[in-house]
Amino acid sequence: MADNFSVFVVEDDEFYSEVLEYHLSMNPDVTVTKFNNAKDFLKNLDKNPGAITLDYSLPDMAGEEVLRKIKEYNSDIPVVMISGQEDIKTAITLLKDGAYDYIVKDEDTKDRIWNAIKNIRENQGLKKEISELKQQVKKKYDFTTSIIGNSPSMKKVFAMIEKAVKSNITVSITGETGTGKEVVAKSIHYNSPRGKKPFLAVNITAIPSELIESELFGHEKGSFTGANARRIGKFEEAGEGTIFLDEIGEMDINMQSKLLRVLQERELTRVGGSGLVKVKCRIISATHKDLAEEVRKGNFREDLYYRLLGLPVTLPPLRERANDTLVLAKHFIDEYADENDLGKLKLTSKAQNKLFKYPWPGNIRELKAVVELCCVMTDSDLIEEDHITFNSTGSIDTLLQNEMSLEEYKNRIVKHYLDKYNNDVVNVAKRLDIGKSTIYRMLQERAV
Amino acid sequence: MSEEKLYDLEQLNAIAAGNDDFVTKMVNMFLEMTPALVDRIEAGLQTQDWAEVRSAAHKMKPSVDMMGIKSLHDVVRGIEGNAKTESNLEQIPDLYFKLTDTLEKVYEQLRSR
Ligand SMILES: Nc1ncnc2c1ncn2[C@@H]1O[C@H](COP(=O)(O)OP(=O)(O)OP(=O)(O)O)[C@@H](O)[C@H]1O
Ligand SMILES: [Mg+2]
Repeated sequence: MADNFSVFVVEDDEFYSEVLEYHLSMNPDVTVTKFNNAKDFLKNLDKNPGAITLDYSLPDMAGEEVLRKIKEYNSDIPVVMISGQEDIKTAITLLKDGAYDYIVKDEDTKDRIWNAIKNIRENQGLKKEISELKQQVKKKYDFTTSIIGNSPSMKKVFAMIEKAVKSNITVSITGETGTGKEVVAKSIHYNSPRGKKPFLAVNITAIPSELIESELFGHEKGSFTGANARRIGKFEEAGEGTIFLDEIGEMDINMQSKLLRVLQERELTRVGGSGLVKVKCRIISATHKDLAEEVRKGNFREDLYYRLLGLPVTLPPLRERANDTLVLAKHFIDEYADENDLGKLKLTSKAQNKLFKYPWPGNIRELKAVVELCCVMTDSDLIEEDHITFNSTGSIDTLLQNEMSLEEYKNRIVKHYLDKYNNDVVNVAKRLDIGKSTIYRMLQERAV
Repeated sequence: MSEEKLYDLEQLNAIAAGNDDFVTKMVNMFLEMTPALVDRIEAGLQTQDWAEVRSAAHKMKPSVDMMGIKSLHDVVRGIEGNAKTESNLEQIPDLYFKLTDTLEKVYEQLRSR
């Protein structure tokens, strides 16, 4: 919490306000603004200072009255009253009227003010953090504002999310990388009656396969080397919340049977344990793979596939979301400008066209990154065509995420070049440094 | 300069935390603003405008304290208090002379600091 804390020092004594400013500014996070009369100060109240030190006897208005005006404007701003002389009656009145503290100018005033400001800051920081966090969670996963899109294909998705929110049904989400699978899973959870319970995401690919079982179901002490203590798994940790099984398509076939059993019985056994633990959480799974196809190929258990299917939500790739590319681009631009205190940024029509025509293999994640880079690149309030660079390494990364065989990758590459160079086989062969005959053979086999 | 030092910058130094420029700035500020306050007290005395006397003395307190001019601590408060209650007014001229007398020496000492 290193954000800047603004303190208004309202004090007509030049000497004293100078000392106060210097002293309070010793804290690099504090910015002091000085005022030597009530009128100027009140005009600036809308700048919402974090705290105010207010001299009781200003030349143009009585201390009580200034205090009342501040409180009327915003009763949350802490006001430390500073007075030239001790006067218990005044002190009591001011405190009753909502002053945070009443301090008399004497030798240790500066320390008392310093402490008062410090306390105010800590309290406010805490309050602000909590309310911001609450706001964030609420705003972030209110899907009508966090999942952007007006295209017909996204309207269908919204309808499905709405159904999912209202029921307890298992949900399976499919979509290419970066299409928003995780956002959708979270939106469903946080908007459902389970929203206040935990949301636990487990990315199957991120955990070594020999550890998956203990990660999901927990283990008893000593059940395997390294199991030094008993540990509960994600299913138990999720309690009555939601567990999000991300990249479920990557789960190995052994583990698939174990998961299936748990889903059927709604009970699990910790690794190395014997007792049964009830499973109460909701299950949402996601994959970028075509799971039905994986079932056909024998890579995914059919029974598990149906167990997990529940309400299927298919996220269309960005290139199939009509105008959403531009809607999202504008959304990310505004968001970026907002977070970085920039003014309004606009896309020229050429720039819009460039964004629109690009196929977005990395989908919304890629769009977001590209757009944020544009915002950095431009020096004016216009984003032009030239500010847009598509990150080719990003696309390779996303391409690699498809985990195709080398043969398939080879075909994809050759096809890409043939498309790019109008099927000019000679040119493509030269560029890829392969024989023309290889390309002809591939064409003959219709691999490309 | 064998005469007793009438001010004490200990407090100001503590606040400055090693920044001598700040101390110099505050000393200069004191030297600049105090004579005007003294003038206001004098004018108030002449016209018997006790409110003015009170207000000027009141304004002098923080800087006099901060500069560590201990011998004026009660003097300034005496002027302020008597003017405020309009009692013991006959004491004010004496207090005023003590004030100007001491301040002259303080200015001198501060300038040759
Ligand atoms: N419709 C949307 N509106 C606004 N932001 C979105 C939308 N869809 C996705 N995003 C944003 O795009 C990024 C990628 O989304 P997310 O992580 O949910 O994708 P994913 O499908 O889980 O990707 P992967 O398969 O690579 O894990 C996130 O920053 C997310 O907030
Ligand atoms: Mg994801």
